[in-house]
Amino acid sequence: MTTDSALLRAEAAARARSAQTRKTIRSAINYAVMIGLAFFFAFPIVIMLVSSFKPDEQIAGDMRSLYAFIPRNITTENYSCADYDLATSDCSPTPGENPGLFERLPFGRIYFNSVFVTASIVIGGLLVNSMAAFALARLNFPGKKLLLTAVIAMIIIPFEALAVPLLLQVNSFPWIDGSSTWINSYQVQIFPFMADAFSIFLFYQFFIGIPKDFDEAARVDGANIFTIYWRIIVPLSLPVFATVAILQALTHWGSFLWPLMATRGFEFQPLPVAMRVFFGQAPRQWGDIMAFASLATVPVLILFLLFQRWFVQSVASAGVKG
Amino acid sequence: MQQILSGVYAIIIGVGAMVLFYFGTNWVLDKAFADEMTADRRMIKSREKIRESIRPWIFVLPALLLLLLYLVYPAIQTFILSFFNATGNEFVGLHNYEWAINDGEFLQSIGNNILWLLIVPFVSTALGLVIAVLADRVRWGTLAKSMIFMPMAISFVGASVIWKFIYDYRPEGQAQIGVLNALVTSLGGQPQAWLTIPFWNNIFLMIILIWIQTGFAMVLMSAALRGVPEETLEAARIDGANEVQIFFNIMIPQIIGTILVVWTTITIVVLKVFDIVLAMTNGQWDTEVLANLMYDWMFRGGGDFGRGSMLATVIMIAVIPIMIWNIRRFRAEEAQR
Repeated sequence: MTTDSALLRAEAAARARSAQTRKTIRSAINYAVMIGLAFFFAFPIVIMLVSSFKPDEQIAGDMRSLYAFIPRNITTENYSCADYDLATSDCSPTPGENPGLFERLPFGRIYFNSVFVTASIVIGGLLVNSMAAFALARLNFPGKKLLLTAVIAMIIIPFEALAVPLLLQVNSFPWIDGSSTWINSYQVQIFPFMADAFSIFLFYQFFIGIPKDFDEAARVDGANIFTIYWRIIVPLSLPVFATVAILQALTHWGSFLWPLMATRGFEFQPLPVAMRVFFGQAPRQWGDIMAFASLATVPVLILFLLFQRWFVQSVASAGVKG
Repeated sequence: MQQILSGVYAIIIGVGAMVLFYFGTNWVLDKAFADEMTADRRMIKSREKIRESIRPWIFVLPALLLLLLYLVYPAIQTFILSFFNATGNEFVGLHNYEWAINDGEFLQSIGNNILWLLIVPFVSTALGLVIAVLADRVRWGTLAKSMIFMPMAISFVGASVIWKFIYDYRPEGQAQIGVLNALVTSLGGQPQAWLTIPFWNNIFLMIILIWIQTGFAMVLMSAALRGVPEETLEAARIDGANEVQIFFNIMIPQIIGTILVVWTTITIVVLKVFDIVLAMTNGQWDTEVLANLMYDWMFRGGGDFGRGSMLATVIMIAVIPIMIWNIRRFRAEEAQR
């Protein structure tokens, strides 16, 4: 009797132990997989940042060891510049160093181009798209259903498929300064992208979820529709405004095909196009290229990580619902 | 400097004009169709109905006009141009399409595009799902998720430059600067010109897009998984289901809607993949895809608008099934409201 129960107890303990072992193994596998994946996704960015602070010979020399991931022999020669002229974006070479990024091209101007174009699209787009979505979500008018369907359909028309007629079209647009073409300008990079079907859709999804009682109460108080938009809807919808802003900013910060087609020189070209040009320029100095990529990436990366939570929430809710 | 200033002015004027448009037209509408009232503010005739039937259009109009001008009109033009010759002034019927069916490069891009469509959405979605599940079970999971999320913020061209560095090749005997070749040679292998190996170079390009897109998939999956009730999982565990069974039989069916959304979104991205191919190989060594081929015909060697537009039309036709599916899903969802 006693031996029996002792046996049972021992058996139970052994079972518990093997369950424990299995659990440990499983969790070890979890960790191994996650560490491997996190490494795969992070290492290109780490290499970009680290290499941008190394002289070219050092990059090559370190590549065969883990030093590739560690800053050694830190130099700023890829970034540096003896005296920088903000107005012309000119820069004299630092004596005794290889010419770096700023000395090889008007980086300041290119950076400004990207910031200006992206900011304009985002600001103009927030206004235009949220207004349209507001009418679609909160007001009733004939043709609304059709318009909504059209917006959904337009979301996935790839820009690549429109590029050529669009280029022919803007080629003969006049502009207020008297020029007869939009080619090689800021406006050609901005106005075609302000209205965006996906942004309208995101706003729509959010606005339609706001209880209708809010506007009815305001309307009883005599507020007109414009006031309702401005005083009630906008303050309640900041997360979706942030999301649309981030999504649009990311897209247009990285925009490549259109500026490649519609601009000619560094005076209007944005970062991705200039990066591609710079990449093809001899001599190919990886340090300079990585400095370029780092400067083009890091500010966006920081913004992106800062707003990550908002962004994740509303993209996820729009994605799960829609 | 001059150009910068005139650009800035123009945009400020443009945005200002839009704000004025919204305020101004609203104001005009209220004045033009004001209610008729007696002196002691008793209503004679309300014009509210007219006002409120016009007002929505004020809100919709700017976006609508921009979309018509910059999206609908060029889309129609693309379709029309695809039936014209290289300079766009002579109607040639289906000639461009007939040419395409017999063109080796076109067929190759179709093949490659299909390969991209099969592999990239699947791998990104699957990886995203696995990460979403595992991240909740390890310490520092949130940090790992942030790291995996980061590449999403990098432009396609930026990503291409970084990966070009990873795949870089120097002839044998020289120090390998490319990350992958440095790794291979230090393990005793032969350095390879990765981007010139047919078929496999397609995979190397796809890895870049997967690297960018997986974070997006992961975020949506993570959110969807949070919606799966913990009791359901517990109940399955008590019934003796193992983790793999739970994953396939409970989690996946519960979030299948999200999986489809992620899948189609990445599919659309894949269809227009262009930047990566242009920057990495420019379609050489059998890596051509539709969007890059279109760019080629459009701009290199004088340009052929007819063939370029035909290729663009093929891309548009390819997204139509997804478009219809999206609209039906949207309608179904609207019906529930």
